[in-house]
Amino acid sequence: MSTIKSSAENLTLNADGANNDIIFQSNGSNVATLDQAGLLTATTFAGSGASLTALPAAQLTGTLPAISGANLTGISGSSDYRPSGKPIIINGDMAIAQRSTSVTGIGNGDSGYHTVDRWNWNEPTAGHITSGAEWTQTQETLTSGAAWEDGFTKALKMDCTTAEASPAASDGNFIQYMIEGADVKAFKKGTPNAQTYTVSFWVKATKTGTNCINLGDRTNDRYIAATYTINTTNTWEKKVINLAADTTGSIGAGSYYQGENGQGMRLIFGLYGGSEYSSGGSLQTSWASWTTNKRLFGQVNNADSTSNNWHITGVQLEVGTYTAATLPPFQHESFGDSLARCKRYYWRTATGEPYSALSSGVVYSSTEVITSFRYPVLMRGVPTMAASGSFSVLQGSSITGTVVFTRINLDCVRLNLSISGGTTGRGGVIRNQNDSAAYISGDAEL
Amino acid sequence: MIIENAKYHNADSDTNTGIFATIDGVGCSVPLDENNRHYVEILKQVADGDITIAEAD
Repeated sequence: MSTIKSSAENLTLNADGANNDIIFQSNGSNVATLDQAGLLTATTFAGSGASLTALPAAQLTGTLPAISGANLTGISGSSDYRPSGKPIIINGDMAIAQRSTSVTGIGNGDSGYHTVDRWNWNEPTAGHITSGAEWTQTQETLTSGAAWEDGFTKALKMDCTTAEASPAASDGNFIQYMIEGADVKAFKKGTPNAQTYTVSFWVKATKTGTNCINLGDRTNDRYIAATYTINTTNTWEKKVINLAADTTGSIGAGSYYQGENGQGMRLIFGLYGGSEYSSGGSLQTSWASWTTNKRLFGQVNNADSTSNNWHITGVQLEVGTYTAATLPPFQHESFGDSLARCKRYYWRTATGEPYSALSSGVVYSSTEVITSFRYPVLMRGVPTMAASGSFSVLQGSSITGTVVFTRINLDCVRLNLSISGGTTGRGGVIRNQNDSAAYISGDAEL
Repeated sequence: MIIENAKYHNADSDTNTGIFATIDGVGCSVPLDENNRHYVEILKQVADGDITIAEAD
């Protein structure tokens, strides 16, 4: 064995010259090279990686080793997960419309749900029954445009059919989404660890200019407002809006719709409003007590002409602060999943088949048929039950009657039929009476 | 929300168990539950003096 050794002083290996490297060989083959820039190149390396420091990020290429996510830091956005891994806003892509796909004459006392599930049309209650704008609300099918190119095939469209160019002071129209209390837990509202909000959506409007949104906490009567701008008429534009966290007012602590299955928060889109919504002189851009006169400061009047339309789709609400570049993609749910989530708030039996059976039971007396009906899902709260159309009981013969709901519960109801001439003790099937448009429904909307 | 013909009903008991009403033109049965938006609205319209609720038969 031969050894190059220096015991008392530095040992210098010098490949002197402009292009000369120090080369290590084994059995006649090069195994390592130290070039003039100090770069060591070898066929293999061994030893602890703990000795390596200041590695340039560009050198970390190829397949990375398995690393626990707990060791990752500096990740933008929030560490909180979406509830159940599903989007907080149900039917944000406007795909589900159980009630109808188009309703005309909405306005002047029609606050409620008309077409697209979970999306509520709202106007203030007092003094708004006989004046103000009217609209046709439609579940619109998209076949072109930027929202369609982003994967959305449905939208909620508001078509102004009666204009109110000069709104009365207290007039105002809104599209809003009520979020169940259990679905906003991740925002930790009212705690020292309250999270910020990001609202994103696709919007198209005839009117250019400023529009307002409100995020409200009805249980504590607090809200925050923000604006977005329609830059180009009748063109789909994507908006991303950041809203502050609120360390005041926990959800479910108020006196209205208390509890996790109550109205946690509401996301509101203004269409137009009279002076009562803007006379505060500014927009309420920080969380504070509900103040009507700062809700729509600067809002354009989308109802000042019957030529105006306003469309929206792809609504998402995220925990944390995102930009257009960092926003998580919209979570497209399957139609079935989205429909099932909507039915927690509203369901309607299918139409289209004459004499379709609803339930079976017994002819309790000559005037009453008693049956049970179980809902498709457990509902958010005890629902309002409704029946529309003609119904009968088949109990040997067919007897028409009136549907009466009693003992309404979270998952079932006693579906009775008030009749005359029934045969006590017979079995009976309640069905529509050759009325393919007849239905019953349960409504536990917020 | 247009509420008409509101009337309490009871089923198999002497106490009211719900309200029959026509809401926006559709016959409905409304539970006596303050987490139900229709019941909340009925109470509001009663308080405002806009409607009354008839007693059960």
